[in-house]
Amino acid sequence: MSESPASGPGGTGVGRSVTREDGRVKVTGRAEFTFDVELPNMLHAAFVRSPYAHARILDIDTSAAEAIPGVHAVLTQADFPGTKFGDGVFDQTCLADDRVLFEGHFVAVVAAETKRQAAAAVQAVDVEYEPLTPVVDGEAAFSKDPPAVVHPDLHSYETAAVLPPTFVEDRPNVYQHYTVRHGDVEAGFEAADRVYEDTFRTAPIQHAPMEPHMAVAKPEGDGELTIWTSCQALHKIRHTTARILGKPAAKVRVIEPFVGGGFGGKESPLLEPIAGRLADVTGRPVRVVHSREEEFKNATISGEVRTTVKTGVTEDGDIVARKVEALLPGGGYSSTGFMVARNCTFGIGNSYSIPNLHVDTYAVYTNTPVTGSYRGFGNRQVLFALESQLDEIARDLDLDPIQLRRQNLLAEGEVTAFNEERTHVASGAILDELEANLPEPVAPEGPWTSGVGVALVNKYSLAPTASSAIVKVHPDSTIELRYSSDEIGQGSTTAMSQIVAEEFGVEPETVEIVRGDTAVTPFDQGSISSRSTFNMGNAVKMACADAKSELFEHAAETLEIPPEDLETSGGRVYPKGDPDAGIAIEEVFTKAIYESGYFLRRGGEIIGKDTWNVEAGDPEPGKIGRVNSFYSEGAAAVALSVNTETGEIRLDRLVGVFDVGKAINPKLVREQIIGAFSMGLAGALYEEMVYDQRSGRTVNANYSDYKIPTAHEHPFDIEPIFLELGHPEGPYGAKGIGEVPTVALIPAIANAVRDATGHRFSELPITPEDVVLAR
Amino acid sequence: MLEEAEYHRADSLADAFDVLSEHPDAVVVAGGQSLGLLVKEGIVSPEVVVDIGHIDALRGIERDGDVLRIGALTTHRTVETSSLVAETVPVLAEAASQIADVQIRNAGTMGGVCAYADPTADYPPVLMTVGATVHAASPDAEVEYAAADGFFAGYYESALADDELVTGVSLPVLGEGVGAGFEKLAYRRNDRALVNAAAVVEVDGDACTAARVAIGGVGDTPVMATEAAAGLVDADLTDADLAAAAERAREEVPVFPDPLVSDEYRVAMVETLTRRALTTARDRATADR
Amino acid sequence: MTDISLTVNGIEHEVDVDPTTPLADLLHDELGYKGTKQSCSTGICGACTVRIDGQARKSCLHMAGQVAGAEVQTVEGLETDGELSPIQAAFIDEFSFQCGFCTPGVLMSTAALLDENPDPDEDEIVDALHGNICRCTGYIAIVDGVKEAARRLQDE
Repeated sequence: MSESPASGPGGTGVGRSVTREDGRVKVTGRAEFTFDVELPNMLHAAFVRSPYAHARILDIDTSAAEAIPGVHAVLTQADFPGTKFGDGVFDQTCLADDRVLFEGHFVAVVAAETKRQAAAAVQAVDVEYEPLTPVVDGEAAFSKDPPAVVHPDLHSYETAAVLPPTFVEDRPNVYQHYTVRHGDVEAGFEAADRVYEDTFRTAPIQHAPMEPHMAVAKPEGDGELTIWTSCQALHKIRHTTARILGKPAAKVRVIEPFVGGGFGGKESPLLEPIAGRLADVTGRPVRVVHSREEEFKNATISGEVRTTVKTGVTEDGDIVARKVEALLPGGGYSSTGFMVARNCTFGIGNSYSIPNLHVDTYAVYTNTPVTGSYRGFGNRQVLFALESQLDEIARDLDLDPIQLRRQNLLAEGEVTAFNEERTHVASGAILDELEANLPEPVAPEGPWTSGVGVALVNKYSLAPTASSAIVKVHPDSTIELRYSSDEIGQGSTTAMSQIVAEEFGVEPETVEIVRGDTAVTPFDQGSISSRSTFNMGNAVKMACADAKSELFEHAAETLEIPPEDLETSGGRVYPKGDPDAGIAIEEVFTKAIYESGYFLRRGGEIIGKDTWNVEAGDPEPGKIGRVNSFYSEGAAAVALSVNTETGEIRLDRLVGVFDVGKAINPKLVREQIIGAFSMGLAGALYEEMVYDQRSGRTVNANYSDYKIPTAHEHPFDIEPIFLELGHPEGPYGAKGIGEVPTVALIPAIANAVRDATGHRFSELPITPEDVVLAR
Repeated sequence: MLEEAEYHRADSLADAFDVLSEHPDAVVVAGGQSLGLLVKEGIVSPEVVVDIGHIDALRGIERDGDVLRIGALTTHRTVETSSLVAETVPVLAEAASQIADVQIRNAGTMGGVCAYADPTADYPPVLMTVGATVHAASPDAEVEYAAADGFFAGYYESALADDELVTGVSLPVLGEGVGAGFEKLAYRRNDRALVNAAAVVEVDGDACTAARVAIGGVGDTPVMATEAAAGLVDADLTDADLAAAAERAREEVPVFPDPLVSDEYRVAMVETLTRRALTTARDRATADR
Repeated sequence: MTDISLTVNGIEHEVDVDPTTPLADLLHDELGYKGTKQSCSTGICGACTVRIDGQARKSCLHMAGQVAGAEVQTVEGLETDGELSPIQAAFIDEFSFQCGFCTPGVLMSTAALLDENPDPDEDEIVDALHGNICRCTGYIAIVDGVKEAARRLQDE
C-alpha cells in the first residue's frame, strides 16, 4: 500500500516540530521514574554477588543474615520456581543456580526495611564456593576442548519456538551458529582480481543508561502482583515474569513509568521476577535496584565481536564475493545475544549487491557478563569491520570511496542474500546527498593532522513483529490513545500524539496519552530495533481509523448522513468539505440525568482498536520471503584531527545523511541522530569494558574507569540531514532512525583516523594510546 | 555497619582536636568529595566523623609580601577564579581548573588534596615545583612540610602524623624571571590524570639559574625529575635543551603498571608533557626580556 | 540519629537522620524532593546535582551533617507558584532533554552558571556542564537550551 508523505485531513500533527508532550514534567522534576516509586512499608533489596567468574556453589548459609533485625527475607535460587528463561535458549535463572557463571553473578538477595540493614545482611550471608577455571577469551570458549564448559546441559534446555538457535555438536560453548549462504564464494574469489582478508575487533561496551535497572513489586493479595519497572519491552517483561513466577499473566500487572534510558539493555526480564518473588514471600512492596557496579556486571552488555572479512573485487571495484566470519563471546547466559548473532548478518547484505556471500557467526558462552541487544544490535560491530575494509579497498584500487560504494549498491526490487526482495532502497540518494555535503578537513596546525572518512550502513528493523493500539473518543472530544510503546527518551508520546492529532484534526497537546500499563494498554513488542514509529505509528493510525469509523456510525444517526460521507476535525463531525455543518462530538453522546455526564446509547464507548503486524521469518531456500520490517539506511562523514604527540582525537565536523521516510517530528528526528551519534563516538573512541583475562573479573565497572564521554568530548559542529523518501508501508511514509546513526558514525570515524594518521586501526575503541604506539 | 555514625561539626581547630583525641579513628571531612566516594564504596566505614568544613580560621587566600597563603578549606573553584592567585601563582589556578568539574571544585579543598595524597592529583606537582610549604597543626604544635621533600610520602599517604591537620599551604609568589607550567593528560577532559607534569624555571639574563620538574600520575607518589631539571641549570633553554630534559625525565621517572593503559604510552607522555610544561615555564620566565 | 535543620527551596526542614546519610538520599527519600536523581552514586555523573548556598554541588557526595544550616535548591525550587522559570521554559522549547533522568541535575548546573555568569559563551557553558553526563542528547540541544535560557533571563 503506497502512501505518499502528505498530511491527513487535519494537517495539524504530522511533520511539525511540536514541543515534547513530556517536557513540563521532565523539567520540573515531576516525571516519575521507577527510581521514584515509593510505597508504604516498602522493603529494600540488596544482592550477594559472586567474586568468582566461574565457581560451584557448595553452600549458602543465610542464617546470620536472616537474624539481623529488619531483614524480612533472604532468598537463593532454591526459593524461586525452577523455570528457566531466555530469549532463544532458556538457560537463565533468576539467581545463580548450582554454579556462578560470571563475576558479580547474583547468588542471593535480601529484603530489609532499610538500605543499611539490607547491606549488612548481604555481608552476613556466607557462601562457600569451589572455584572453577573460567573461560574468558572468545577463541578459547569456541574451541572443541575449551577450558570450561559454561552450560554442560545446553542440549537439554528448551529453546524458542520462533527462530530457535542452532548449536554446534562438537563445540560445547556455542549457543548460536547462524549461516548465510548465497552463491558460491570460492568461485567468486577465483574470479576476483583482488582479494582482501582482514580481522577486526570491537570491545565489549555497556549501555550505561542514566537510570540503572530497577523494579518495585507490590503484592496485591490473592497472588497478584503489580510491578513498576524501568524497561523497554513492557509486555515481554510481563509475560516472561509471570511465566517465571508460575502465575497466569493476568495476575501480573506491569506498569512502566518514564524510563531513564534503555538503548537496548532493558528488553529482557532481570529484576522484575526477583522483585515479584520477594514481594510474594514478604507480603510487602519491595524495591530492587542495580548499583552502578551491578549495572555493569549483571545487566546485559554489548559484546565483543571479532569479525574476519574476506572480500573479492574486480579491478574496477565491483564486489564479487564476500565471506564473513564473526565470533561473538556472549557471557554466561544467551539472553538476546543469540539473536544478535543472527541479526548482525543483515547489515552485511543490505547496502550492497553481493552475488556470492557466505556468513558464519558464532555466539559462545564465556564466564563474563551477559551480552545482548544494544543500539545497532551487532550491526554496529560487524559494519565497523566491513566499512573499514571497504575503505582500504578504495585506497588500494585508487577509487573514490563514495563512488566505490555507489557502484555496488543494491537496486530497488533486488533479492538479497537473505532471499528477501528489497523494496524501497534509499542508499543511492543518501550517498548523493553525503557527497554534496562532505566536510572539509581542518588545516593542520602544530602537532595536529586531519582527515576525512565516510561510511555507508543499514540497520534492519526486526520482524516478525506486532503493535496494537486503542483510541477512545471522549464526549468532550478529547481523543485518548492507549498504547504500550516504551518511552525511553525518544519522544514516542509526542510522535504518537501527533499522529492522533493528524487523524482527528486536533492539536497534539490535546491528545490524552495513557501509556505503559499492561492492565490497560495493549500489546507492543517494545521500543527496540528502531521499530516504534513504523509499527506503533501504523497501529495508532489504524486504531484511529477504527475509532473514527465508530464515531461516524454514531454521528450518522444524528446527522442522517451516511458515515462514509463524514469527516472530523477540531472536535466536530461534519459532512466532508463542510465543517460548518455537522455537530460537536459531544452531541453524538446523550446527556445523563443528575448531571452524571454523557453516555453512548449503544455500544458502550467509542473505542477504536487495531493491530499492525509484520509477518516474516527465514525464507526456505529457493523461496523469497520477508525477513525484516524495514531497513534504515544512512551514511556518515567525519572530519577530525589527531594530535600526533599525544594521540588525542578531536572530532571537528560530523555529517550524517539518513532516510527517515517521513519525519513525524523533524526536531525529534534531528535529536535522535545527534543522540545516536553520541553513542557512536563513545563506542569508537572511549568505551571499553575490560576483563582480567585470567580471572574473568571486570576491571573497570565504574564511571571513573569506564569512559563515557562528557560534554567536552562531544563535537558541536554536527549536520544531521534526513531525507524523506517515503517508505511505502510506513505511517505517512515514516520509518525508524534510532540506531542507524550510531552504526554509521563508527566506521566513518575509523576511516577518518586512517586518513589523518595513515594507520588502519582494526580494534575499537581507538584511543590516544593506540595512536601514539602506532607512530 | 548497622550502627550509624557519630557526627561532630568542629567550630575551631581546638574543637576538632578534642574530638580526635577522644576518637583517634575518627574520619576527618572537609569538602567530602573524595571521602564521599570511599564511604559509598564501603572502603571506609566511619564510626565517627569530624567535619572541619566550617572552621573559619582555615579559610581565605591572602598575599603576605612574597608569599601567597591559602587556607586549607579553600576550594578549587576559589583558587581557579581568584584574582590574587592569578596575580601571584597563576599555574596553581591552571591546575585547579583541570580538576574534575565545577560541582566538585565547588566543594573540594586544598587541605583535602594535601592530606589525601592521591598520586594522580593535580596540585601536588605544582606545589612541589614552586616550592610550596604545607602547614599543619597538632594539638600542641604547628608544623611545616616542604611539599617537594617527601610530604607526598606514599600511596595515598601524606607525611602528616596521625594527630595533625593541614591548616594551609603557602607558596612563593612567582616574580620576574620565574615561569611555571602545568600539563595534564587524561582520556576525558579533567579526568584523574594519566600523567601530569609541572615545571618551574628561573632565569637571570640568558641563563637558567634554577629548574624543577615534577611528574604525577604514574607512580605511588608524584616525583621530582631531578636529573631532567639539573641538566637545565646554566643552559640557554632552547627548544633542544628542553627536549633533552624531557628525554631525561622519561628515563628517570619510574612508571608503575596500570591495568588499563600501557607503560609504553605513559612513558612517552611523561616526555611529551615535561617538554610542554618546560616550554610554558621557559616562555613565561623569559616573557619580559 | 541527629537533628539536622536545613532549608530546601526556601522551606525549613528539621529531620532526624544519620548525619552520614548522603544528601541525595535525604532529599529524594526522606524529604520527598523526587526530582533529585542518582545514577552512579559515585560523584561522576552529576544527576544528583543541586545547589548548596547557590553553588552547584553533587548531592551524592555530601553528607547530611555537612549541609546542616545550609540553603539547598533542588529542581523543584526553580519554578515559582507553578510558573516555570525561564530556564525550564527554554529547555522545553529547545528540546534540551530526552529521557529526562539527567535533566534536573543539568538544570541546577545551568541555574548556578547563569547566576554567576549571565552571558556565557559556548566554552563556558560546556565547562559548567562537564560534570553532568547525558546519555541521550549529545549535548547540542542542552547547550542551545542554556543559551536560550540566558537570553530569556537577560530579557527579564
